[in-house]
Amino acid sequence: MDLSSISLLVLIYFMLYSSIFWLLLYFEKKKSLSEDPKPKRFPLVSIVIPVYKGDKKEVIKKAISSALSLSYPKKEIILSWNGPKTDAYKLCEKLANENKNVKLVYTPKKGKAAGMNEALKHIKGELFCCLDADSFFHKDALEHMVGYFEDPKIGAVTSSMKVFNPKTIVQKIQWVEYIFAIYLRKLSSLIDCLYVVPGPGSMYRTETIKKIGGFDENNLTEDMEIAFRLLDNGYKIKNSLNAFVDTIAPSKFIGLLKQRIRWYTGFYDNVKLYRHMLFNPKAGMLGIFMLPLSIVWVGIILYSIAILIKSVVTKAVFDLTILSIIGLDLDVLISIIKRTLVFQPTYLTWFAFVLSFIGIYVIYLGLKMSKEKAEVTHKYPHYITYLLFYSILVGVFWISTLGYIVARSKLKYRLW
Amino acid sequence: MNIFLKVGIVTTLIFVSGLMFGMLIGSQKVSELELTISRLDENIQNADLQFLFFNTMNQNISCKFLSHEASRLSEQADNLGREVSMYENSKKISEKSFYEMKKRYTSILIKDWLMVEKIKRTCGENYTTVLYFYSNNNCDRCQEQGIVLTYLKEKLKDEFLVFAIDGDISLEIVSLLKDAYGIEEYPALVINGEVHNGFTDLDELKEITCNYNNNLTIC
Repeated sequence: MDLSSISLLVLIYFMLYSSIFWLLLYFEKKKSLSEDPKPKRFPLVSIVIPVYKGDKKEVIKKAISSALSLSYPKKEIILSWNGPKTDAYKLCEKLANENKNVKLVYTPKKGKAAGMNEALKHIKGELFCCLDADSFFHKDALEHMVGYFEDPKIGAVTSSMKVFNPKTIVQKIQWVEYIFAIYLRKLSSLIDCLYVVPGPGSMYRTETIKKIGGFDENNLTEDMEIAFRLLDNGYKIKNSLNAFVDTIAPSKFIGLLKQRIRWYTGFYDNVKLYRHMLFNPKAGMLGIFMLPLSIVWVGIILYSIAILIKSVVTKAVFDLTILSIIGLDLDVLISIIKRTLVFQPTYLTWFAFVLSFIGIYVIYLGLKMSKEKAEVTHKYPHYITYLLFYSILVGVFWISTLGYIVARSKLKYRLW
Repeated sequence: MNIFLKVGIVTTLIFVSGLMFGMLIGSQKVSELELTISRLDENIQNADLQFLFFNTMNQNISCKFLSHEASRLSEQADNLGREVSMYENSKKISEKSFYEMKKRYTSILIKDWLMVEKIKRTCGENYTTVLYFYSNNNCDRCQEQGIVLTYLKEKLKDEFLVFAIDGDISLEIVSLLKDAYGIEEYPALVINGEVHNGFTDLDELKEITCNYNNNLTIC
């Protein structure tokens, strides 16, 4: 066997190992997945909605009303405007005047982290939630989360995010992706490997966040940085499967690409920042398992993309050679194509079958955990699109991200 | 039990079963090909016997019958060759049994070619026969040469018989042929007994074929 076959086998083993890992973990903890600790008391929860000039009025309104209609008994809502004021700011002022539960705070500094830090000064709640303005709580979300904080080691609790009303193909693919993320987020939280506290609908312990110094205003993904810092300081992050939050996902490819370049660059920055946690037993499973796993996955995706590009190029060169020699003699071309179309099963066929089966099964589990029915009618084709193209998409995101990281350090080019 | 260990066991089981599946499919394919090779071998022997019969008994040789036999033999060899190369190109695990099989295939192919040449000479036929020497390891233009040959084969069918031989295979008869024809590089063609070292393009090949028999559609 040559080197490329061996590396392919190593890659397959790794892919099998990591997908089977989550699957077995699922089966071990199956019963307790949906159980949240029952809260003994209901402390005041402050819901911080960071707003800025990019947020649309109707979306802000919808986010606020979702916060107001939460069934949780003790809550206050803080709108935290950062950066230059727009028309939407007046709307926030108006809403704050009309409702005694809604407060508006302001900082001229730009960025969500600055907004969160400003809000921290005004928060009365023992716990607080962040709700990005493009996200909406399900009515009973908070009740499921507060119970976790009975354990003093818990610094934050994440929710289960779903894509709100997916319309475009890009959103529908993300809808499936978020379902998969619900599966992975819950399972990672079981082994204390969550390293993101997403902006839409996560809950924090106010005192803890103040103690570790608030949000990092110079970080691209402050929701990842705060997670790393919590874990680095010995706190834990949990996930509640029952606390649902809907969020608006980018509708066009270019928007999604920009979002992912920011996320992935944030991952790169934060892993670099917290590199002392890598392979460090003190950082628990995150350091010895999850971070290395995530990094190796990036490598796998890039390697797979390289293989894909190579085979596409080889095929294209071959086809062009045929064309240049034969010209457009259709009869001959068709019979040559027929010859190459014969299916020859190999051991790769088996692994492709197993991995696709796991992929489909995991989506099924994700749907079950998200309390969604597998809607065959309008979402169905996008399960297939997701399974077929998602890894290519992630590859494209990573290649773009690496390009951006290089441009940022060499050319001082910055998107954010 | 430790979950990492458990996952390792399950993964290894699935992994090994995949490799075994590949080997099973591979050996099945090889035995399938072996069978086809045996059948071809039988047919060649049959043709040889017929020859022997006509010669020994001083009968008039039935060329119509034999020509039909020749095109059948070459077609069989052609199909077999396609399957062998398809299997060769797909990712496979069992290399050794495949290599043995390929050696057998190559010697049968040469036998086939000899039989076809014999029929051709005896009966004064004018179809073109091509012995094509290629290499999978050190040949830049073998792919192109393959395309050119496939094209003419598609166009001329029974009038153009190609026997593709892997020059790297360690068989005495292959070295003998290479020496006898003075093959120096790949690709190399022996067209109707005439040697052409290096890549032969479509126009050249057309010309050679047409010089041999100008009643063809491409001439």
